Amino acid sequence: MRLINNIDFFQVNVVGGSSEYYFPQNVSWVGKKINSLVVVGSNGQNEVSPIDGSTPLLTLNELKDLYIDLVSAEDKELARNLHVDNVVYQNNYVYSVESVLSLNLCRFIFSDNYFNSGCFLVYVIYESEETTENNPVNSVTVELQLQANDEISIKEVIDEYMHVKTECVKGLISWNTEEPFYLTLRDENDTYTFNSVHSSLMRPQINKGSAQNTQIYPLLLNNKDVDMDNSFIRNATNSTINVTLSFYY
Amino acid sequence: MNNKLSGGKLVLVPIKNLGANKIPYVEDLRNRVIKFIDFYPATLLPDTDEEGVTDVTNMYLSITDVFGNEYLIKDMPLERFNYVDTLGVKQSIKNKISLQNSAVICQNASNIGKYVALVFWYDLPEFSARNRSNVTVADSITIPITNIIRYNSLPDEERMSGKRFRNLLLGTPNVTPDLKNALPLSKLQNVYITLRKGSYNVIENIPVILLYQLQMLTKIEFANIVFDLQSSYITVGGAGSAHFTDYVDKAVFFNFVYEK
Repeated sequence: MRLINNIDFFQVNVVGGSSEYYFPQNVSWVGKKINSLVVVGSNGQNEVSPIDGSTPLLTLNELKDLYIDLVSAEDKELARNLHVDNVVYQNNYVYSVESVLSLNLCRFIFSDNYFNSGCFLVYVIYESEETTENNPVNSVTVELQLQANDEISIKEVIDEYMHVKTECVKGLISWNTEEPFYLTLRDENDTYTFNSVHSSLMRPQINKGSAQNTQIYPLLLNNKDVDMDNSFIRNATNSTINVTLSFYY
Repeated sequence: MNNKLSGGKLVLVPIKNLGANKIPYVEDLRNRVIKFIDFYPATLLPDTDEEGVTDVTNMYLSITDVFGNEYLIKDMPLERFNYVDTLGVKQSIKNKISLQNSAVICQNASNIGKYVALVFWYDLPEFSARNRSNVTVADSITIPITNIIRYNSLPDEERMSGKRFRNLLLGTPNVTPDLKNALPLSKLQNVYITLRKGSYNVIENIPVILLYQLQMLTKIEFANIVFDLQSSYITVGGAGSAHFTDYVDKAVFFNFVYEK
């Protein structure tokens, strides 16, 4: 398990006919050790970009011919044509990068000519800690409805549904994976701790068939300083969704 | 003992009768520590046109220790070894076993005359090693299928020669980076890989689909195994009975992860 210290994301806008997309360079994780990259596309729920609220996320099927080239800060090749299956959010063990990247040389490549426009999101988890600690055991699950493109502050959720001290929240799981949302956590200075983290990154791992075999890995926050008033959940789609979210403390 | 994989071998067990059907003797597995066993539900099998068992109802597996006088596993339902059901969570053996005293127990008459495909993952220290570095490199390899009755060699990628491999990740793109049409997941069920070092099969006839790790619940890790790409190959099961046009001129795509 990994305690998430830092997570950031960038959006790759795919333009019909172009097959090569380089990583952004003006980002907070330049020169940082990257633990892993997680690609998020739409699972078919007409999701839109958290940045402009309108660009559609490409579906996972549309991303089937996507590959990644990674180059380390020493200009050594770390990944050549790594298939998207190995970094997509459904993968329980996304590829470990564990290196500082030379961002101007890292890129996404489509092997097939792709003529639809849209975007996909890349979450960058960096300088986080591996842990063998057990998951937090106490949890409260809240269910709430969010209108299209609506948002609700975490404080409202907690005041209404929970009776635990807000600073104690250690992890999150989104159970309703077919109804996606974005989570943004900010501290009291409005600095982003988690910016628009897609709910698929907080999904449970469910073994096939038996409820008894359900395995739970919450997205573990590493004692982050979070101001719940300034933090919110935002609907990722343009239709009403039902959020089912567990807070672990 | 760790859970890293080093050697792997597909063993076909003929189901001749109801009751116990002995597992054939395999010299390469003699006195080896068997780490895990997977059952592979395939209709078409490598190097034979015999039919494989896919229905695991009323099928069981018993494994004895190396002396053949004590059961390590007795009458465990075969579905507990089925990678489709276990999602990669392998049944741990971690012992030397006696194959001749182990058996597949069949109480399902429809499986008589078919073969049970078992993958034995065994400890192979001669062709594996400890980690020297935490940093790995992922490289890609596209294996073209040129025929379905003989071996399809792996391309000899110079940059991967002499490397110590930590993982073999099967990919399922439509089009590979070198613009070949890749086999879809449904056809990959019938493709097997053999990785050789010198004249030894480090990995022998392993179904490639066992290396498709997208939704597995446990992580596969190989113990820095070594093999020669130019003498390794993939085969299509069914000894020619598979549909020719489904496979030929298509390709199998892997990302091989090796120690930096």
